[in-house]
Amino acid sequence: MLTVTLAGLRLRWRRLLLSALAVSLGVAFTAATLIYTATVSAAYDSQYAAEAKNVDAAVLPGSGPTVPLSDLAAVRAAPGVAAVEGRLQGPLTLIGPGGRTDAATAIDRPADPRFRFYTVVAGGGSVLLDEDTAALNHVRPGTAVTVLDHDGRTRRLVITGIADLGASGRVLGGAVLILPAALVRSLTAAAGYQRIDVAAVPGMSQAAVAAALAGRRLPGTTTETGARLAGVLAEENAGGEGLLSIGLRIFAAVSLIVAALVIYNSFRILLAQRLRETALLRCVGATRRQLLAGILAESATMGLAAGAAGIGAATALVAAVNSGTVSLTGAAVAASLLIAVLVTSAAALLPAVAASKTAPMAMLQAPVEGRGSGRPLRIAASALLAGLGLALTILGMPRGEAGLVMIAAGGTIVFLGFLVIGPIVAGPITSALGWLPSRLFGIRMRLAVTGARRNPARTAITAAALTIGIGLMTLFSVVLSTATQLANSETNSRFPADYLLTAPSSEMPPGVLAALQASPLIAEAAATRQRTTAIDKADAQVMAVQPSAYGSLFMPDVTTGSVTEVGAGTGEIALAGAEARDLGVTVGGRVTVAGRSFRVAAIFSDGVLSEDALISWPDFTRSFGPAGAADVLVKARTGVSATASAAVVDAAIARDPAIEVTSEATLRAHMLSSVHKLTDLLDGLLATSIVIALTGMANTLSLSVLERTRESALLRALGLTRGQLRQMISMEAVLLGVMGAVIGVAFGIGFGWATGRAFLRTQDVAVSFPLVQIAGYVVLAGLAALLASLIPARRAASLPVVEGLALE
Amino acid sequence: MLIAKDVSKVYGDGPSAVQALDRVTISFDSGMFAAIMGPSGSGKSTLMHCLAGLDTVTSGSVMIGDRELSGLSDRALTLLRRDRVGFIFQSFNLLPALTAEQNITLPLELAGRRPDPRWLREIISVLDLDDRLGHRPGQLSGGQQQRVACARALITRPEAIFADEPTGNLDSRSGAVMLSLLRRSVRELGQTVIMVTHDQVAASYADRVVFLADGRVRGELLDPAAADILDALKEQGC
Repeated sequence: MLTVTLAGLRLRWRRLLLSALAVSLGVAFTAATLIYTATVSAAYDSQYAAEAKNVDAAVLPGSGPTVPLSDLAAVRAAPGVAAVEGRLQGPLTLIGPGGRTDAATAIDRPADPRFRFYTVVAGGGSVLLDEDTAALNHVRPGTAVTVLDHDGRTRRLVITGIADLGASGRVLGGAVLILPAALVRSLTAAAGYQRIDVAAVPGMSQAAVAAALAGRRLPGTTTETGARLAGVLAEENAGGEGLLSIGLRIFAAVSLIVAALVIYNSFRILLAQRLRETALLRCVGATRRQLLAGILAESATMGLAAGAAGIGAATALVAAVNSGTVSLTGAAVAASLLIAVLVTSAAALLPAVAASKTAPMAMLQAPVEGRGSGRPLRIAASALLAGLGLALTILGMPRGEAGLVMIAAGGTIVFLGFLVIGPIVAGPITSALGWLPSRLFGIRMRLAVTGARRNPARTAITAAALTIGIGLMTLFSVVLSTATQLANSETNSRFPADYLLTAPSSEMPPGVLAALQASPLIAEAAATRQRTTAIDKADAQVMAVQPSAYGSLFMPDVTTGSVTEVGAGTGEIALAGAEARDLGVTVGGRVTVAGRSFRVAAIFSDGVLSEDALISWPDFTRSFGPAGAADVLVKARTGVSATASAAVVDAAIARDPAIEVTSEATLRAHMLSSVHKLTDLLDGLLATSIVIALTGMANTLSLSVLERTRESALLRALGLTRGQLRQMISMEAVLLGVMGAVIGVAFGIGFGWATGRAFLRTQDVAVSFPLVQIAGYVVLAGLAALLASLIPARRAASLPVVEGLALE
Repeated sequence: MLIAKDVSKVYGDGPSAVQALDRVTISFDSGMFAAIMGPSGSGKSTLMHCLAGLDTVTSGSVMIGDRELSGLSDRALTLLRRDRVGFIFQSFNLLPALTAEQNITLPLELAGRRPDPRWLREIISVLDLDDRLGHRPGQLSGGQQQRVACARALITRPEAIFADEPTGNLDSRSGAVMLSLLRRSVRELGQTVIMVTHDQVAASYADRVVFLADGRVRGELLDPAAADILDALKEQGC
């Protein structure tokens, strides 16, 4: 039996090569995902845990907020300690050269270089500013900046260098100043260390040095090893991006399904091609057991070889996508090989068992692949799976991030349901999608449709591999677009204006407002006035805003009533919730401000600028006399970069350096940059899936072209030109690709919506669908399929007609 | 009128080269039913492929009507087959996904032309396929499938129809019907049919039988009876 198997392998190595390639691709897909997941999470962890770089052990605050400064000496004295760094951190306010203020964090510059987790990108020295803030404020080494210390005193600092803090910069938020420890303490009055980091002497393990530190029994502290610290930091700092690690795990699970599909499909084709030979062996006396053992041995060998090749390919692929960085773990390699052997054997066994059940003579005459039977069973099973999956999804939706796993499981089960029903619906879907193109492109397209309909089971499985890729891309794009919108709306709802200009002398020079309103980059600029005065008896902050600002620049969170009446009206007032409670009034009640009576028209939850009451601009003038603006709210046009709008604001106040500018643009730029970095990571992942879907489709098409050699030859004999034949195969591929994509898009939109809902459970933001991008995916799938079809099409067209016709 | 002049066909090269046709010169008149006979490996299929523009000749020339085949590009040959040649194969070779009618009009579809409805109706009624047009090949008997293939060959009114063992997969009754139909299409529809066969009964339907062996023409018979053919075959040691 082995001789026969080997002889068969030698004779059909070309066809086997194709199937081996398919198996390799399947394994490569899984391996690539596992390796990529490991690589990305390693990169991700190392980014977020950068502060734990070279740290072997750390003393962390236990009961108190910080570790007492006095503990440093005790830690230094512990056995096995080579270097010690007490981490200081405290809040500051940074006033840029243009007068804008930014919330900043000051951290100490480690004396020992091994603990410096940032990279200096310009200058050097010991007074460093983070890269993003430096760019926005045009700070270069040598530029002087002003900071407000914990007592509100201004201090001048000359920045000596610019640092790239990687992900840590985002974790700390806003501007980050890296200063000598003494300066951090004097500016922020930091009373203790965030953490004391320790590097062990060479040869001492992290556990040993951590144990030695724990042995000092420092009161109110805990001790961790460096590895544990990195894990804790990565977890803490990842925050909302925990979605990514869940996403990666889901992707790995899904890739397994795709791999199984590709391998199963190619083995079915492979065995179908050899059915005649198998039957012949049975006729001359091979037992079923011998046949199955032969096929099993062959498939396991093939799975192992293809698996090894797949891991190699995956490593290269990940290196290419991830610009050279690969972290190849033993677990990923072992899992990939095991999957390769198991899935290949199982995929081979299923059709082999089915084939060996048939009587030998019947097999000799049987059509190559039988139609799947059990239609009602399929429909029932698929309905059951779809119901189960949807139920899980719906249950998971209100559970937030914990529900994401349920939604993923639900999605997978619904997808399995689709696989089961696939052979039944693939034909009609193909026809429906091909209806219009058939009218447009004539016989080639109609032949392509019939080609795709011929073996609906295979069509369904081939399309399914693409469906998964496109489905995930759509899902991620929906979630990311929603997250972007969320990031925008979070800043927007808090403070719709991009800049707040405050004049120290309580009157804004009139030219400032006019200059801002004249700029084409500014959507709107409006003045506000504020005064502390008595409402009924108690003092409160009363504010007025120019009427045009309502709804765009100025959006207090109204709980009852309507604030627009206040903006334009006369004798009406809006009160902050707390103020209304203190005064004991509700909407419709009356209060007295500066001797005039006002009707309460609205209650808002929080003041935009910490105001307690709002009255209209004319009422304010009537009550307190005419005056210029105190503050100016500025909103840039959509699409104008923070740097550009900051330049306009800087120009407007150039002659009045005393004016303070608070910038919301800075905060928003920070938030959006984190969303974009997330997008970049996912794009790398999805690039892998696209490449694999493309090669997988090329492979299936090659096999299907090989099977239809005779039919292609017939069409060629009857007058189909080479070009037309190539077009026909390409059209079939595009049809397949678009079908997979359309189903994937439907899938991605549905489950993207569910994921978005779960993810945003508490926020009042609608799930957003980037429709142009999603339509782009369908076009991309079509183009990818077209590309995938080029080689099979060329192969089909190059075969001489006579040779093709002679094949039996 | 089909003419093969000094046609040689060699497969492979060097010591393993096989001379399938050896300077064959032969012509077939229009409106005739001709059969090419010979044992396996005699070159009869190769000759047919070369005459039909399915394969290129190593040397010599082939003309279909006024068209010289040698030197034509693959595309030109394809268009020539589409417009001037019809085929009937031993294994029917219908497209399983198309209905009988779609299979019949396939060559016209490939050319982007509409079928002439009168001609289509005439073919269908001659071949007795009226009530089978909506069926797919899988729902038709072997004889019916071969009649569909015959209609497909006729639909373009080709210069010549090449039939490669058209009765090889049919029972004797269906085979006889098929052969009568081929003869009728020559007599009544004015077609030219060139059939390759090794069955002397089939060949006896032809107006002329050409015998081939070892890549050369060994003789021919006009209006033969089956018995004559058998004698001729014996005489040539076929």
